[in-house]
Amino acid sequence: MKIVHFSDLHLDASFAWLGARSDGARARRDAQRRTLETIARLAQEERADALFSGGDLFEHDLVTPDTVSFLLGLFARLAPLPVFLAPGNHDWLSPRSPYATADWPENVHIFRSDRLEPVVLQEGLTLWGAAHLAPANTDSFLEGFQVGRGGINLALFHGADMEALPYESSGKAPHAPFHAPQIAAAGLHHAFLGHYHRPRDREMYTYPGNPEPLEFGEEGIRGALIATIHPDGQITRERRRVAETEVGDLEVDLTPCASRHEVLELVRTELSGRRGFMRLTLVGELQESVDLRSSDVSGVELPSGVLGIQVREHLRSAYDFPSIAAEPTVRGEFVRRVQGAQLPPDEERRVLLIGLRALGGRSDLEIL
Amino acid sequence: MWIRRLRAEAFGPFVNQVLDLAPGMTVIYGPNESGKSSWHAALYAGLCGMRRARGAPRTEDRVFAERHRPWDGTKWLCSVEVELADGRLIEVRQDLDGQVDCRAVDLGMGGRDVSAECMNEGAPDGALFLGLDRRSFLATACIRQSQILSVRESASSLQDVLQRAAASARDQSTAGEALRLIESFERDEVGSDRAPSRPFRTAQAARDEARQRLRVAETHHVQYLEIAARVDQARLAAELAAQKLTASEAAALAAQAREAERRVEEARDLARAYADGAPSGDVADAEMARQVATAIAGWESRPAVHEVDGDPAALLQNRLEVLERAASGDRSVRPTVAAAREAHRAARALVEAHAAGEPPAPPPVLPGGETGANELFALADRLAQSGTGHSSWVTGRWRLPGAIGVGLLAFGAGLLLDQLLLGIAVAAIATILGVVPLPRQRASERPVDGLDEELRRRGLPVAAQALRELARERDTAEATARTRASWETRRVHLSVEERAAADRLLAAIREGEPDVDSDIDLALVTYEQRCQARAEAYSEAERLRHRLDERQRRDLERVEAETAVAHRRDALMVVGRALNIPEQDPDAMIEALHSWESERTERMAVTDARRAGWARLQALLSGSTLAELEDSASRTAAEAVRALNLVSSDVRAAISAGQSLDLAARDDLQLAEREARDTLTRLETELLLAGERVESVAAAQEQLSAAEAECARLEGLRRTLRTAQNFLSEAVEQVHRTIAPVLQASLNARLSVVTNNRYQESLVDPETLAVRVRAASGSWREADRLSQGTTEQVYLLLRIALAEHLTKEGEATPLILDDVTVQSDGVRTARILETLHDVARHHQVILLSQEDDVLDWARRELAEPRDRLIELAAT
Repeated sequence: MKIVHFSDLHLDASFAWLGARSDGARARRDAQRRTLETIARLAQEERADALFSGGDLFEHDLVTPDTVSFLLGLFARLAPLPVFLAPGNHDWLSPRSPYATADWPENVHIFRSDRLEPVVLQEGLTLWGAAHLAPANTDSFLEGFQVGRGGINLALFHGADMEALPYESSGKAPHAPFHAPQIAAAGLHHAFLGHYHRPRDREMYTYPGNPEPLEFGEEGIRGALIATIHPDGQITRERRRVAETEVGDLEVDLTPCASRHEVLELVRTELSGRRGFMRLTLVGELQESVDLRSSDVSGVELPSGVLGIQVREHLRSAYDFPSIAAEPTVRGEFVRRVQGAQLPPDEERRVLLIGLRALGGRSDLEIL
Repeated sequence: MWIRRLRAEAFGPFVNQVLDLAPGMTVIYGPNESGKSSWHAALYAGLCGMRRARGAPRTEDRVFAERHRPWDGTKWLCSVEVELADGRLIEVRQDLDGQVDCRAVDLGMGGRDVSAECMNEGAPDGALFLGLDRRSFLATACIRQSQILSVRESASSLQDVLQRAAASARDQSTAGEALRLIESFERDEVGSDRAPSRPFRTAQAARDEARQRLRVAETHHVQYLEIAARVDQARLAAELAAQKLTASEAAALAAQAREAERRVEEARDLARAYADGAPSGDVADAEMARQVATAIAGWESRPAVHEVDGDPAALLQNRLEVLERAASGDRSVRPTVAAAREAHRAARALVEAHAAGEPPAPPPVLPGGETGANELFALADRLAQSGTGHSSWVTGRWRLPGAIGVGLLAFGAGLLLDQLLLGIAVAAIATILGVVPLPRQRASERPVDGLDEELRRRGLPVAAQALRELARERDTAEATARTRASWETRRVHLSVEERAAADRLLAAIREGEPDVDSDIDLALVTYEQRCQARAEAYSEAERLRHRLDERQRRDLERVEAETAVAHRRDALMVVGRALNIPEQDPDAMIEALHSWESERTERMAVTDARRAGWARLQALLSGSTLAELEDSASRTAAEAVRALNLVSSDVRAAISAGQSLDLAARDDLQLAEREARDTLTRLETELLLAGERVESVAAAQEQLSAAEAECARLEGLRRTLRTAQNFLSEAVEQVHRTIAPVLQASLNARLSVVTNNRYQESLVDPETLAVRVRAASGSWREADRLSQGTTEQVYLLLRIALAEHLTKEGEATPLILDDVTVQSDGVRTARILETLHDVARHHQVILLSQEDDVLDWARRELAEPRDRLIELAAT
């Protein structure tokens, strides 16, 4: 038995950081759909016996009719390949959910209970699935659960391994929490999960990770999971990259730049040849003379293939603040006072640069 | 610090040339084209170097390079040896071109590299040893001819210079300008909340718009989800209704299929039975059969002929006539008789009742003789009054009987007149008239005098008591007599009435019975007995009449029955003859006919069955062939199968098993299904419209996020600008407050000397750094408004004061002056030179000049080794 498993696609997610470039956010959402198409194609090419979704397929509060139509059409084209959907905390199953209201194709099975329910995949092989019925406070699916039958028993749900929670980002909440030993204790041979975006393979469970990048700085090999379930219950796992979008980090040293023009040229040069969405981190020493605003870089004309950028700056100032602070001038007094005011470092840097630029007769007073 | 040596290895026109300077004042004199400006540039470049920045060089750097790059194109190198206040001898070497061979070394320490102490923008900057840098050194220590000129030409330039120096020790913006720049920038790039065209207000409007758009998007999204949920419910309802309808239709089709199959089977059987075609009909003896059946039924239903017993009708008729005659007359008391009888009985009852109440008869003689009771009482009263006690009661004693008699006479007259009431009334009036006047008459007729005599005359006692007793007896007797008279009068009246009632009764009886006795009681009994007798006769006659009628009916029935039996027997015989049955008694004939009928029925049953079967076959085929019927059944079966395939397995099983599905009527199911489908269609349309309204919430969130980010950026920018502005204002205030007294003290120290005691004291405004000086006369004057020479002197002193102030403590800044006296006359030049010479006691002063006056002054005033004159030859 071979299955393709994915989770946490988060169709129709908001990419607020791309808000200034709404076309970029729209492109990101289109890319999410293409990723799902890639997963579907993978399932067909691999002649998988089933396609699993471990939840957060879409964003309940944001999902559009167009996306629902897309899902219905895509899954219908997969028929007769069975598709098993276990709603998560972002696409929880409610009476208003597309899971409840849409006319899903015959080959799509949606788990609709907040208790694990069985579906016989084939003789001697049972899939247990459950759904989140609310966006929060979903209890553990494994607490007190026993398969109570022979053969190979698999699980598909959206839940949080409490041992792994500390390794997740700080905003990750423990929805449908469980402890890994509960899987075996319940009589399950393996659990195909969703929720954690960081891929995580353990003996008894697998988090495939979000197949399409959602944030910058995501680590680990993410994608769709091709799992082969052997007659003895052993699982063989293989990950395939299916992401449509490339997301990368790029550090640009602005030290050589003597003008805004040079900065922007350098940024364009560095972005050239890149694809998808890039996070630019501006580093180095920005010369005093350079009039550079945040909008200059975020609004730079993107080379072909680059869909959007996010700009961070870790720049140093070219001003010799210690020397200036030693001056008995207004400049020196200003620097001393600012540095003595215990401002947040970034605010201090901006205040200093504004004052010094103004004292230098410059009118470019917005500091990157 | 003082610059000991300047080495121009390759700088402008110089190649490996050296200029040794004095620690005090060095005048470098040279005519035009003697390289004076190049030495000045080399001094600055050798000490401070040039910034080694990335990117294109600044304009001033580019101009400097163009002017002072070695003419022979060799490497651009120069160096200085400086002695610091701490005694260190530092060589600063500048590779102005490649910026590679740059370094600062401590010559006293064997050439130890101290470049790190003075690196500034990629090159050694000796000004850093002074607490300055190459830019502030240029603005502070290098005084050019043009600056002197500007002071002379601009009234406010002196203050401006101070402010610029105070601000940054550079020839840049003043703090005030810097503050205005920040303010202007905030106004233009941020703007206030109320400036609609400025970025912040625009960003707020965009944010508000984005919020509204997000709210709308979220609302539409929620509405869409709600309608989608309703569509789902409606779809389920429609599916359920459709399932019920489908089940109903499937059940109906299944039943049709079963019926069709049964009909086909039946048709097949019949077709086989009638393979030869339609059966022939046999209806020839139908009329005979009808006649036979009619004859049989007629005979079998023939009436019975009964014998009639009892008295014959004639006898009964005679007896009836006798009784009818006996019953002629009143068979019951006529109403008029009954009414009269009741009236008579009532009248008689009154008489009898009146007689029962008969009062006692009055005494035959009343006491007191003729004198009435009233008169007796009156006499007794008179007697008592007269004292005799006798009273005369005799007088008038016959008046009451008289009155009664008159009354009776009047009553009798009334009766004679047949007016009973009138008689009673007249009698009463007469009696009263006969009695009442008595006392009056007695009183008026009898005088009191002679009462005794009169009493005695009347035979009345003469004692009042006795008279009064007699009066009471008389009164009682009179009352009894009156009662008796009244009763008698009533009795008479009632008797008259009773007699009249008897007469009317008799008259009524005699209307029908004239022969009755005149005695009313006898007449009445007779009448009533006769009525009773007639009534009994009549009853008997009635009974007899009934018997007669019954007898006559039965006689008639018998006749009719006999006639009918005869006719029916004849009919039997007729059909018997028609069937060639020998005539015989009816019962035998009946039996023969029944036999004939039985045979015929058997024949007809066979024929009818054949014909019914054929008719059934034709009905089943309905004009089609058996094959066509089979095809039709097959199609119906197929439709049923298709319909059954549309229903659930359990429903299909139930239908197949012929179980009832407990469904509503099909019309109701169709209506419910249509309504559910209509609801679904309507909601799907709503959903479609709602879907068209749905905008991407994510996009709206992103737009809002961008708008909020822009607001946050502008708010942050405004906050930062204002923070910088505040710190800058505080710094300006603080520095001016600090520098003003320093400048003032430095100026005061030299002012009187430099101005030859014309001005002895100065005042520097700590707020504006405006300079005023006090003349010997005591008046204060703005320094800018002094004579040009004095202003130049004050300017130089202030520049020197600034240099001293800006230089780090313990160090003295070399002052490099380029042709600063070129616009001055001899006197002012001398003053300036003297001032500079004085300054040179604490600072190295390097004056480059082309003026002969300066040369002369230098030759005259400067002495080695503290000072030095360097004369450049024209190149």
